[in-house]
Amino acid sequence: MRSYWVCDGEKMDTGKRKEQLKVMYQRVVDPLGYKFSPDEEIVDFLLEQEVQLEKEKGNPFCPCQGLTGERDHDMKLVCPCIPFHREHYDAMKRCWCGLFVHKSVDDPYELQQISLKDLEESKNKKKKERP
Amino acid sequence: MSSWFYAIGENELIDGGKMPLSLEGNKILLIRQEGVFYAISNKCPHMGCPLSRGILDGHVIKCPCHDWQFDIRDGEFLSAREIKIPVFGTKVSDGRVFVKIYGAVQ
Ligand code: SF4
Ligand code: FES
Repeated sequence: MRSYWVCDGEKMDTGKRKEQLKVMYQRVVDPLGYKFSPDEEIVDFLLEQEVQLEKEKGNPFCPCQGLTGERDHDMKLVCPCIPFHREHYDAMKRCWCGLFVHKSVDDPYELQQISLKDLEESKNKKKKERP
Repeated sequence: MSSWFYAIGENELIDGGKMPLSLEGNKILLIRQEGVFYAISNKCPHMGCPLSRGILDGHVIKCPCHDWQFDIRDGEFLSAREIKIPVFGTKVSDGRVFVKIYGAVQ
């Protein structure tokens, strides 16, 4: 898989790459109603992880999810993966790792993680309650 | 303000084909599908990979880098309609294909 990490034949340093990712991600998540977490430390930590993953695997994969080696699965875990897991994130008002939160969120630590199983159960319950 | 710019001769692109172009500083991907010419930005809105290296299937182009898929007719990203690639108007006149560029004055 081709990596676009190499710029002008030279490897960019991690700090520069983190800044680049930030700019690119901002453009993607903004129209979806998300923003970077107000916790700058976690943002910096997760972006650092992504840059390392990009160096190792060629893509800035999600730092908090496991890859299977199947392209269809793994490409849905390239950051920002919000478009592919939106229902789940909209319910939690954050992405799995917490790199992004809904624009309405001021305090990310008030948010609760919801498991996929719980999300499915509450959806089924709502369906049954409907007349 | 927008203007039409000459892109290619009509016969330079076969049906189902795509051709990257630079017009007035815009990186454009010209596509011919079912006899119609479409012009979209050649830059994927995810991380900027060139869509010209992607795979065209009907009216959907798949980015070569992480497989995001876009409708070439309206630029919509199939997994989140809020994200779009810029789409440019096209016209064919006397066997010549023109692309409409916004913000450019000829
Ligand atoms: S869960 Fe968050 S950090 Fe992980 S890939 Fe998705 S958007 Fe990026
Ligand atoms: S750059 Fe196009 S899908 Fe990632």
